[in-house]
Amino acid sequence: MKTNLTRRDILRFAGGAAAGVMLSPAPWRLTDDLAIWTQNWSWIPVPPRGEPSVRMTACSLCPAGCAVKARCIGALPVSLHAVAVDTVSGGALCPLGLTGHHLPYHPSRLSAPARIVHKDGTRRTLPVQIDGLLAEVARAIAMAAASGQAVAALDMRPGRSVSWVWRRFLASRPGGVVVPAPGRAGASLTTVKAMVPEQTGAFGLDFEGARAVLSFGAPLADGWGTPGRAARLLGRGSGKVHLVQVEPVRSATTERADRWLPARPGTEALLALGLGHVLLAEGLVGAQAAGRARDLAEYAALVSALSPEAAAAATGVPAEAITATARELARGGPALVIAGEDAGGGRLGRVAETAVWGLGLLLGGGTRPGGLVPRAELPEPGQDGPLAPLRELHELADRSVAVLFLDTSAGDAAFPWALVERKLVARGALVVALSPFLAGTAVRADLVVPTAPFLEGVQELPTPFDAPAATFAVATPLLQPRAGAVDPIAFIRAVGGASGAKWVGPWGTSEDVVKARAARIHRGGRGRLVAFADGAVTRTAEVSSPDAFWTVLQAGACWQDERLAAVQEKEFSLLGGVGGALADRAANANTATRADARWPLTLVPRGLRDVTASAAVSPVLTKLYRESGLRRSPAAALVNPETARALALRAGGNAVLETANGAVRLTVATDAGVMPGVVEVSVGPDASALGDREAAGAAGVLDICGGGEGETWGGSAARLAED
Amino acid sequence: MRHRALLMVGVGAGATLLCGWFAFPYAVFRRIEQPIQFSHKLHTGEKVGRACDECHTLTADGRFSGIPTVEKCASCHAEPQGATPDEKRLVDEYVKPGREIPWLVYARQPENVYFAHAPHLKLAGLACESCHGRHGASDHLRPFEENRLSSYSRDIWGRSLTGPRRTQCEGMTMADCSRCHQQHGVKESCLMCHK
Amino acid sequence: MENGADRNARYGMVIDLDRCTGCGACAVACAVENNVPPARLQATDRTGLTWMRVYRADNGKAFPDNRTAFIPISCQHCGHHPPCVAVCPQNAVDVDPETGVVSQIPERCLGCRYCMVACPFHARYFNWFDPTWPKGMEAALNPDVSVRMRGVVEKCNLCHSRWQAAKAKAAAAGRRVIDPADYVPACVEACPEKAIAFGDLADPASDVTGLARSADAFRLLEELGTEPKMCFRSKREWVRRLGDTDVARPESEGSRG
Repeated sequence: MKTNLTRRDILRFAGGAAAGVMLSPAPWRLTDDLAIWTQNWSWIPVPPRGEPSVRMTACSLCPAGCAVKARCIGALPVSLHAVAVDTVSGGALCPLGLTGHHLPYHPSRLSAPARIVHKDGTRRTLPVQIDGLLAEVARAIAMAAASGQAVAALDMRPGRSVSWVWRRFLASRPGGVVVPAPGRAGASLTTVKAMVPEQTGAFGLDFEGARAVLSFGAPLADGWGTPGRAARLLGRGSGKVHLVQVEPVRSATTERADRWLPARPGTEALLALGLGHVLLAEGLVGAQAAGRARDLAEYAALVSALSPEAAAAATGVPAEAITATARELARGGPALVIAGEDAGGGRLGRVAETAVWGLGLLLGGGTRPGGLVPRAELPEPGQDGPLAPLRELHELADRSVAVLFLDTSAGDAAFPWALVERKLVARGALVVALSPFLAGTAVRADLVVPTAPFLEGVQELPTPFDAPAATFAVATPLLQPRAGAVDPIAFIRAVGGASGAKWVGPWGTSEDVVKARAARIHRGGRGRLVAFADGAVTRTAEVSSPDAFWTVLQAGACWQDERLAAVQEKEFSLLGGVGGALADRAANANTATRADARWPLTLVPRGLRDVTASAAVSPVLTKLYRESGLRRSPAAALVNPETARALALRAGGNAVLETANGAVRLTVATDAGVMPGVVEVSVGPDASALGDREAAGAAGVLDICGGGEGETWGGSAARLAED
Repeated sequence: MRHRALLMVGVGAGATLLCGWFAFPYAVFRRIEQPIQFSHKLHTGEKVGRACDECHTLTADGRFSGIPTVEKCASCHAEPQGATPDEKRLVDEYVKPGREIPWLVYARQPENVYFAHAPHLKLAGLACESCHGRHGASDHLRPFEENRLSSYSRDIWGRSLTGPRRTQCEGMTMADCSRCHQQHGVKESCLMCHK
Repeated sequence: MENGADRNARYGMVIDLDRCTGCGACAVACAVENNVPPARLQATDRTGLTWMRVYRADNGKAFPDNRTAFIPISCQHCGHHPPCVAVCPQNAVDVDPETGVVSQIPERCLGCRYCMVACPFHARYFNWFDPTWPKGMEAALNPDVSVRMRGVVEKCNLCHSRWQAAKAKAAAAGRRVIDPADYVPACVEACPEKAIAFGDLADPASDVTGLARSADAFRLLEELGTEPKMCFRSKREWVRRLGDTDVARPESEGSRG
């Protein structure tokens, strides 16, 4: 037999091999294995494995402080749920709260201190050592002292223990001042406090006792106040309340309202005065309220010219609606009138707020349940000592602040940066931000110090502004803190140390100071603790020690104070020191509607609190902004179809929105729910908040707002032209 | 000539049959030893006397603990109880630092598979041996035979590479579960077992 | 055999459109529960993944008589010849006999998207990209739901992982019938207004049965005859009429960020 191989041999071998392979399990198993392999790529994320557990904490992403039940796998939270027994949330969480456990992994999260350099319109982030940063801050503070300039802290979440420590720390700095965030929810309550000067403590809002609510711009169904209370108020369940909403654009609140008064932006004061006119003219003011009003006669004189017809002409609200509303409020049981802030649009302004709160006081709102109610304040964490004053931003002198701390460690707020910029000295101002994320207001700073985000550091939930009684809860961390995160108290202490000052107290970290406050609350002996896990109620007096009190709070509980008696004997001023301004407005009511041909539109920026309360939001919120049209993105300018036609604008087309402060490029969208002559732009979340780190600091609508009275920025005159 | 033809075909067929039936199973599975050797027999035997469900528990909300966490081991083995080097490694490398032992789970299913022990143990009354064999009586942990391509255990595919199962507890593929369900008249649907 | 053990359930929902405020909590809770990845920068409302999606519709009137309604739409879980089941070449979709859920099994899907064409409610979504979460966020994924890879279609499964957990819990107690309180889909649980009622339409004692038969109740595109198990209700006539037409007027492209 020949032994050299021929091609035919190889072919026969191959044929045999093919037959053999088919008869062996190899190809069949390989197919199966390959199929599995191709479906299990290494880059497809695999969910964590571990023991499931449930832990209670509170959501600190906005001041409401809803209770949160975290479902954890192997001690890592994988989903957050509302707590049914929670009186704050009413058993529901907002989209921000539902995704709060994503925030520690947000792409914009900072892991080390950074310097932000703005050059030629670009922004660069450079790493910086914490020691160098502290030295620089100390130098800046020393220089500020030497040149008589102020050192200020802008507190985005006032009312916390940390807020108090800022005041104690800055008390020793010359010109030290703490500024609560402008336009924050509840800011308008400072106006009514000034109208009832003998009232001690704070005012809360008694939703539960009201039968009629008139809200000037407060988005009750969009996260204003404590969302759970609003949900109960607006009819889910018992207690139907007659709601009248004043707003220039349609919103979830106007949809739920029994009556919508679409007043032109900026005419809220006139509407309130017009309603006051009807109350006085028809004798609907109660004797008790009338008796307590110091300046009733002047008020009456001021509103005499604002008949329903005059008010209708000035505001755009039909006269019969004004009359009907006044009657409904006077006759429909206890009425609560609210001067609201919009999370993106800010306050109505002191003049309008005075008119609105005055209306409420006239309806008896401060003298009986169902209106403003007094509440005790939470004790501060430490002994009384010198405190830096609290000033609203617009009360500071321009070009007076040399060093500004932005405390966004517990949350952020939306407002035009220009309002802050003008308070900074022209040259050499240093802005230092404390923030978990390089997003939101922190991007405006020169130096940023990373702090722990939600679920990694202890956060405190002091009384929300609208609560009828003081409350206190603690957001227990569920995650290990990451290296690099700086505790705000440790930072303040280090800054103090670097600038040679004696430390103000025994606390080293936020947890220490919050615990100290809890201990003082416990010592007060009032109120009760409500546990989140089962709703169990324990009276403070029955808790044996401050440590036991702290343990209950950390396990997930809310301390609630007792309500003070609601009937007030205090006198109040209807005109609150702005009588002159109100009189001016009333006198010029008929010219209020004159539109400027150059600036034919009014810009109404609007925000939802669930996205403006945090600099960064979970990227999953793209479901609401990018992957559906449910919420308007900040890139859209909404106008009424009529307005679009008049200005020759195409829906979907690009346009330039311009005000006296600047211009910004947007896309046009039409919405018949927007008042003609108004352009509505959403304030957030921008792309960096949703996870695109590169987009931080991009211009938004707030950069072109401004110029209103005090620190208002809504209602700027604007124009919109095709790009 | 014909002999040669047959010879070549035969050699070809023979070579691939040998490869397919013997070399392939050997090559496609990689044998990995478990991180720690563990004797079920010792722990359930007279000396220690643990019951199966002390470590492999079914909770009231229907979850099965699977292989217990190192905390369970730590409850007895905070310090070495015996003299074996494996136990010393357990205590030094896992119990003391609180590190989870990276067991290689023979029964690990893909991520998209949902298997609940509760209905099988409580409603069907199956014993552990029905699916896991005499694992609970073993005195050592056999090596984990990992399929190099798909990374799943040979216990899932079945020890033999051909279809027919020799024992009830051989193989945990979808076909195996399905066969048992059909035998027992359990209604089948995708959602029952997939997540 | 326990009562009802052999009876198959037909899970459905009745969504009260007068209560829905368009907050989006349902959409977000669904994404968290089901490991739905966030959108990439270039995603639009046509390429996104929104198992539960809230549409906005208005009554077409001019300001200030313009009124909105928000309509949360997920898979309608058609009860009679679901179009997607009929067209799938892979048998990746089936009607689960025990729950009535139209089950989409991504592992069998080959990505032909025929079902997306067939679905009259546009309730099916395609993974154009591999899912990416920001680095580290995988630690916050839900282990009860598998993560899909690109190239497969996915949609609402009525949180069947929660149903599986409820069944396991019942089995641990020796029962074959689940406790209804244990099976609550994520969207139902998250709604602040409690606008979504969920239950077994085949159970006469369940809330949803009565609500689904009320005069205010309607279903989307009823004339197609697919018998969806998701119902809506509203006292407003113009909202009820929306069921017969396109739910929302098309938004202009580019008006989203």
